[in-house]
Amino acid sequence: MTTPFDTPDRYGAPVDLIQHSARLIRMRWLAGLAVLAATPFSVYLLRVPLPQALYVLGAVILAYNGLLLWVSRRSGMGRARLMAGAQFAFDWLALAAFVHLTGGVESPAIWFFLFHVLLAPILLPGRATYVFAGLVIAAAAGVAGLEAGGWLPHYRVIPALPPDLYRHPLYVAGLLVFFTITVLVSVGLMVPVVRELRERERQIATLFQGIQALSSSLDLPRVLDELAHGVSHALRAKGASIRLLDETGKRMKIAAAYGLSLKYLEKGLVEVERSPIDQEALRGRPVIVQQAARDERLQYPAEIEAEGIRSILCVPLIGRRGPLGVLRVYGQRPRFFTAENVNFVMAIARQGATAIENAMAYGELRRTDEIKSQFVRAVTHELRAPVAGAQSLLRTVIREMAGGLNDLQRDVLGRLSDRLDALQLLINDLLDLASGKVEGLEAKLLPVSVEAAVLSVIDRLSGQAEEKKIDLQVNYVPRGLTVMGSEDGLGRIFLNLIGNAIKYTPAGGHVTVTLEQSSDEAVITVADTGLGIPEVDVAHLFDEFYRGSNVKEAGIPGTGLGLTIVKDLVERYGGRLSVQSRLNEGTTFTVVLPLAG
Amino acid sequence: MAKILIIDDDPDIVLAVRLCLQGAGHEVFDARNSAEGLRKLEAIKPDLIILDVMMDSTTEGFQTALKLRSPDSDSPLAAYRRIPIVMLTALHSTTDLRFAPDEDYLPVDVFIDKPIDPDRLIKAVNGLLVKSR
Repeated sequence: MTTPFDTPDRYGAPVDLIQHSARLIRMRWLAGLAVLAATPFSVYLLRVPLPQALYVLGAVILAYNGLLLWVSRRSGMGRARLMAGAQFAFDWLALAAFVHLTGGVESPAIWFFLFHVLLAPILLPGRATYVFAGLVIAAAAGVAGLEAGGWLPHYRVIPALPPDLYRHPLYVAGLLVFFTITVLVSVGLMVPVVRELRERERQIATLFQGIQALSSSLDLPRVLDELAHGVSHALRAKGASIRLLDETGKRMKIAAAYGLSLKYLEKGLVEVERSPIDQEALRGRPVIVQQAARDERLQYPAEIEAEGIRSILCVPLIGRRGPLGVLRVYGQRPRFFTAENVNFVMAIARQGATAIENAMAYGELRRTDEIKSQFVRAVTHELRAPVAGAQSLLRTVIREMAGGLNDLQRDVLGRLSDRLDALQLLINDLLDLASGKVEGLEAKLLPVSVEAAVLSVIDRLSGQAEEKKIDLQVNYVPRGLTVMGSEDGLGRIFLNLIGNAIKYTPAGGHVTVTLEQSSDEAVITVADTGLGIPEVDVAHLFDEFYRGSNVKEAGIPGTGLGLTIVKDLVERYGGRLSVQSRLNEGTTFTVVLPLAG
Repeated sequence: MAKILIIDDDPDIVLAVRLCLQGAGHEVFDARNSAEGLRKLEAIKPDLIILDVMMDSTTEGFQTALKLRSPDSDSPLAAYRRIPIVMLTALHSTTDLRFAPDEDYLPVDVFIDKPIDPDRLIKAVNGLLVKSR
């Protein structure tokens, strides 16, 4: 499993190696050229009797550097570690040759080996650094030994020195001892510092990424899993668990765990009263159990022992309204946790608590929203049936299917029927709004043809337009435009917009629907030559139950919910809804929806 | 004059349909749920069936229509397969099934929205009866 807490092991990471390798290659060009330039300078100007072989060495350095450059360009990231190894090997040999050619133990260049010793811990893991230090010492000792023993020629480059100095046992031994001490002390000082810096860097990266991941998720189980996994991973601990207080506030349940066996997790509820460690942590202070086997404060010592847990760090998860629970990290060794670990885990726990609280609040909100929507849906269904029944009966009476009516009765029943129509409209819109809100949280958006949705609505409304003598036109070129949404939702958007346009346009007017593509968006405009919207009303147009003052005065029935529904849906699909209107001239609604894919 | 069976659990809708269709000269029978409706088929031998979408469950009407139109040769309702069906739906219902009848998906001849418009209902019923003769 990878979580955003995972960071690559930065120790000798390929990216680092490649960066450093590139720098080393650049420096090596200089080194090769310096050998080629400094040799004649020393020989002819300083009268130092250097061997001709140094020119060859300079050329060899430039040659293998070229080879390394070529290989690194060809293999990219793939062989970074191998490349680093090859560079060290070549340089080691070249430097040994350079030291030999410039006088062996008498050469001042012997201290150049220190450069290598300093670079090694930056590029190689800790243990490899010691190996490399050994190789450097071996190279120096080898050159000195081979020259002293007569197996290699000795180049005497400083005529002022005694001719047999390179064979003088005390001098050679003394130099090598001091050289060895210098190398070992340098490495010994460097390695822990570099290692510490690497670890800090890794933890900071983990903390940073973890915080980002935690604050971007509202899914409680995911937040908890990430927290447990991330903390455990960052500290290289055995595992971690999160225990959250239940409703009673007296018990804690394991809400997430990482690196622990199922058996251990099933050991039972933690009774806060019986767990002094958790009590202490819930009061806001971190607790470290350095020796789990010998600690009397633990509620389940046998299980902890069996699980291989040797030390425990327990920190509080404190939310805005008080403690939520504890975060426990388990060490595989006694005294696993340092004071720095404690600060680090406390920092993560603070962020974690906020994330947990947010996720809990969101979950609660979702549940409430769902219950509310279900309630509204149920109520609306129950409301609709009697209205439909009453209206159906009323219509048969008005049509005199149940006997004759006088004019007054017909007028009264007609008014009754109109009121029922308005009530039905309101109920339908409420149902749409309620089911739309549910869809918002639950439904998956799918690619839907926006053209099919518009055409189907136009088909449904053409009869109505014809009855009102309104010219309903659609302008589009088939392009197969699809947007992310639901068929039902798109239907509702256009049914409302085109239905409104027909409703608020007097007989003889025009309603024009246009479908276009603008870069990666579908643009649908519904333009009418209707009543228009007074300027003062435009700002409130999308408010629930708000209706334009002119249409209310004109007595046109409506609920003021249609555009709320449209806006709600358009925004859910990631789109925009805008309106332009001139009183008594007409209104144009524009829906812009991002295209699918 | 035709025999029409309406299957609906809402007595007001049943009465409204009855008033409309009796006024148009038809004989109307009713059943409160699908099971009762299917039982009465044998005795009534209706010329047309009017079905409510939602009764005890949200899709009871659809299931009844599917049973009636089952293409299985050994279907117990094979004799009634050709009876025209009018389905009563709630206008604006949130199910995706509110659009025009789809021969493959739903073997129903006509949808009528509630509340019932008497003229539309009579026109639809008479049209189907003429066609099925």
